Amino acid sequence: MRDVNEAGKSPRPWRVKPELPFVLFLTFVLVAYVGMLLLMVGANVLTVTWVDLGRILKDDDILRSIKLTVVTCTATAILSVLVAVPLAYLLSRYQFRGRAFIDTLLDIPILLPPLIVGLSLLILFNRMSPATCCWMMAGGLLLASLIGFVLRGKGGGRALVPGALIVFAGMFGIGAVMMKGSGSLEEVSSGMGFPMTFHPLGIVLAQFPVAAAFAVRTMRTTFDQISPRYEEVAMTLGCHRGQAFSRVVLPLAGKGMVAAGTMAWARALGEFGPVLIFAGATKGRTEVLATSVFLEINIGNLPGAAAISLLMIVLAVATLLLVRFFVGRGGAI
Amino acid sequence: MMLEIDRLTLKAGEFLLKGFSLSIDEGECVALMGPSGCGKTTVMEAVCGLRAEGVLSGLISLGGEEITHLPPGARRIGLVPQDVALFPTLTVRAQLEFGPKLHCWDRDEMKSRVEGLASDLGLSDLMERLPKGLSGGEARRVALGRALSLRPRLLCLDEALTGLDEARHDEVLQLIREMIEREKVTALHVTHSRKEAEAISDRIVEMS
Amino acid sequence: MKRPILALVFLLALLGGALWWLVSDQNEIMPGKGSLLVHCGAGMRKPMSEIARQYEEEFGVKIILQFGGSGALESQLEVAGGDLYLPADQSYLESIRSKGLLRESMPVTRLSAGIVVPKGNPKGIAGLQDLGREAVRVSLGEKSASVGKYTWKVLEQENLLGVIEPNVIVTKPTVNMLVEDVAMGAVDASIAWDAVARSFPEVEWIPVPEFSKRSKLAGIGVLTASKNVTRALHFARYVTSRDRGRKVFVEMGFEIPDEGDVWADIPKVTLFSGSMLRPAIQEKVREFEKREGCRINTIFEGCGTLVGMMKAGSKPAGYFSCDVKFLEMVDERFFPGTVMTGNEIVLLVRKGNPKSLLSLDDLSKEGVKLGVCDETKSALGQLTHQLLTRRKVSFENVTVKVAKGDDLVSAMQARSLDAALVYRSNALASPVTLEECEIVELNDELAFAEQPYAVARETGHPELMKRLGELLSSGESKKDFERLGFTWKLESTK
Repeated sequence: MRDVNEAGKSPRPWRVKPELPFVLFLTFVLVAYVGMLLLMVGANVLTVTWVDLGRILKDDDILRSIKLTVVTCTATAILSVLVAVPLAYLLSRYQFRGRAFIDTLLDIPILLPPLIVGLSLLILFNRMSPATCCWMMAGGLLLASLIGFVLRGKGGGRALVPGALIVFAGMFGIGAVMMKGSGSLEEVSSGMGFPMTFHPLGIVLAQFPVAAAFAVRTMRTTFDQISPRYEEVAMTLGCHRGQAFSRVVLPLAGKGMVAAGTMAWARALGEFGPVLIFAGATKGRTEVLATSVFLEINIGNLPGAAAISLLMIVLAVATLLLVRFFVGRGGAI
Repeated sequence: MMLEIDRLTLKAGEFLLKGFSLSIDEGECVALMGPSGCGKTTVMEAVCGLRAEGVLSGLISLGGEEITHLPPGARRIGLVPQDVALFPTLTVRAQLEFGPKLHCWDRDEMKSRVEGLASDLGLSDLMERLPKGLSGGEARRVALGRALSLRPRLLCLDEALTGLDEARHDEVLQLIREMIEREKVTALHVTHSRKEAEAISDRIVEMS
Repeated sequence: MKRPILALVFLLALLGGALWWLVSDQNEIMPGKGSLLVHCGAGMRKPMSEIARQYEEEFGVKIILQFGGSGALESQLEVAGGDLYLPADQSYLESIRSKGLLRESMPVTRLSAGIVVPKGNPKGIAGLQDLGREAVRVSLGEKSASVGKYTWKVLEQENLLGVIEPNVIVTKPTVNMLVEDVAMGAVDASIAWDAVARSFPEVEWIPVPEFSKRSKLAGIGVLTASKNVTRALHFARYVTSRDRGRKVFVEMGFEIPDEGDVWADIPKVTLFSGSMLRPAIQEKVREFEKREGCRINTIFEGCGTLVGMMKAGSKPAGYFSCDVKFLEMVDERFFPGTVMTGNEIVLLVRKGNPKSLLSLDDLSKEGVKLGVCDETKSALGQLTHQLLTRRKVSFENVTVKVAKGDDLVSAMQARSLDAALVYRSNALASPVTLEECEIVELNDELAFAEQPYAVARETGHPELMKRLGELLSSGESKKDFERLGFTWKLESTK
């Protein structure tokens, strides 16, 4: 039994070591890092004169580049969200063997060097024919369904999913036979009125893989944060999965979708590597802001490049602020 | 009898329940009790159809019909979950109308059902509120109404009184008992409180 | 429930709109409607009428064809103007070109002259000598017709005029009339184009060596007087395209001089070009695009990168390479290239040359930060590597290896290097560069690259690309290149 008075009789009052050094340390890290960011932006700002800004804003090519940037980024963002929502929901709610594998697969565009994304697209479109692509898809799906049958997973649709995969594989097989000898993918798509390589349409295709990957990540977090309980109750009331999704989950995911879309937009804005390789950087045709900077540097016009960079910084910051304003921190970025 | 569970074997993650059996007569209210972790909520979820992949063997039938592998929506069971789980973006009215709308009820029939429930549950003034504007007790009442809206054969209640303050307990217990009798619905109630069990149910089943 | 659907529909509409805009995105180059006036050599009446009809159907633009003897037409157009001129022979086009009346011309068909006789050759005519025989009635074209002018010239050269002239009972202003007369039996023989003769079943055509050795090339030219140059060029391309105009000519028995381009309303081609050529040719290519009404996607990159892209499957219609070595790597894809320009490699140093770098040897000095191009990525890199190796310059000072010369210029501007080995044209590309840096001449025979221009074998638009090549090798173009530090390598310039 401790002698209470002993403790109370302590000659000096209790001292806690001062908090100040720790606070200073935290502040130091803050200042150093934020300082570096501000210096980078500041250097950019200081290199740009009003004259430079005026010059690039009057340049027809730059104006067109801005227009093209906005259009392509918007298209990419919308496409990304349309793809990300169902995909993220699937990953969030359904258990199936190989889910971890698919998860990793979806992160690949983020990890790959951007130039590889562009090069892969270039090779795919210009060297592969639709028939070859169909064969590849059919083969891959058959393999997946085989694995699905062998390692029978849990969950509803145990045999359903591999079965569906086999049906898809069959469809691709038929497609391969039908499309034999039709030239490369690029030739087919151009023939149908959708030229891709070195064409504005290809910009969207080049921005898409990475932008979508980010959108999927964001939506995944959003869905993971929504309790499955709501869907369960909805199902007892008679919904099937799809109805539960559209009537109960989607309204809740609204903010998340805005965040995902904005994320994809901002990502598409900065996507340079794939766009350069796959869509080219033809002045006035497939030039977007990201490649405009590159083009200006290329002709030794540093001030012009800096001016465009400034423009992009403004755009990016404005986008971020917009998201914060509408979605708040819960946007899961 | 209404609900018959015959030698049900369930697996949920690491947990395994072997050979559980239970029968409930029509109109009866049975409380399922046991220490936490014994699997009572899991059994209830299985009955509702939310644990289909975990059912390893055994049979569940409702009203003579086997429902072991039926989807939740086809079983005609109403669920009031432990965490209430009102749809956050829908008003009280919309919550009550959710089921009927889904099954394309005739408009007048739906209106009368919803208003009937609302008055029975004392919700008539709260119809246009969103869940975040409701107190714990009010939310529970809405959840009850929602579960009963389609006139289910079985009502499942999971820990009906969690999170309510003592003063409210009796009020809500009384209301639940009244609704069960008025709606003439069979009920399964999962709880760890003997007091709750005795207030609402006709019979108590202990799980180990 | 309603709101999500509405939002979804809105988003899909927005997406659709954006994609549609991207696909149909055409820069305002479609010329207006209206009509075109074509002065056309009579011998080509049949095919041109058909082609004009097809064009009108496809594009709704009226083509007014004026037929006549090529020479007559020439006089006419000098006075009356017009949009296009299609004489039966190049010499007419040269003639108006020297008068400053011609913008651009393209070859259309080959015509060979020979003796035309009624089917069955009743008078048994075998050669030009026979035209001077007793009781052979001959008609010849007037000098205002291409065939006429040609005939008279050749006959004079072969000293046959004396023999034949007495038998010439009539001269006619167009070749059609000549053949018609033979068909009708009004004359026994005439000298006319094979193709025209072919369209009259009542006659047959006999080739003779004196004429066969010189076949004529008919070409269509756009006149400077034209008020709608883009539309005129559009039509000219139509006439000379593989699957439109040329097809009609072949169907009607005319000989075509080459395959011709595949028809495209707005031809879209890709041109690969070494990035150092950008400042020199960018504007010219744009000019060409506007003039021709076509789209040229120019990809400017280091030649190593371009060759890599070609090996990965890209099929550009043309390749303007930084150096012949790179064209050699892909030469099976192209027709033999023409060397247009040369570019010297110079040493770029800071203004004032603080480290006193005056020659290649100085680059081995201590503490010199040298930038070069990567030898696998660009011609400049390869040549630099060779240069440094052969001249025994130490590689130790090489601080950075980039993909192309422009990057070195940027680095020099950003002051991160002391010296860089770049093309003269890289250094002169932007006036800003010379504010920060100065050029040191190397005067080394190894420090030199030659740029060839080559047209792809497999492209559908070889003629278009050839015309582009002609523009790039014109006198105006020469000035641009020389101003940027290139050396002109083409012997003759237009």
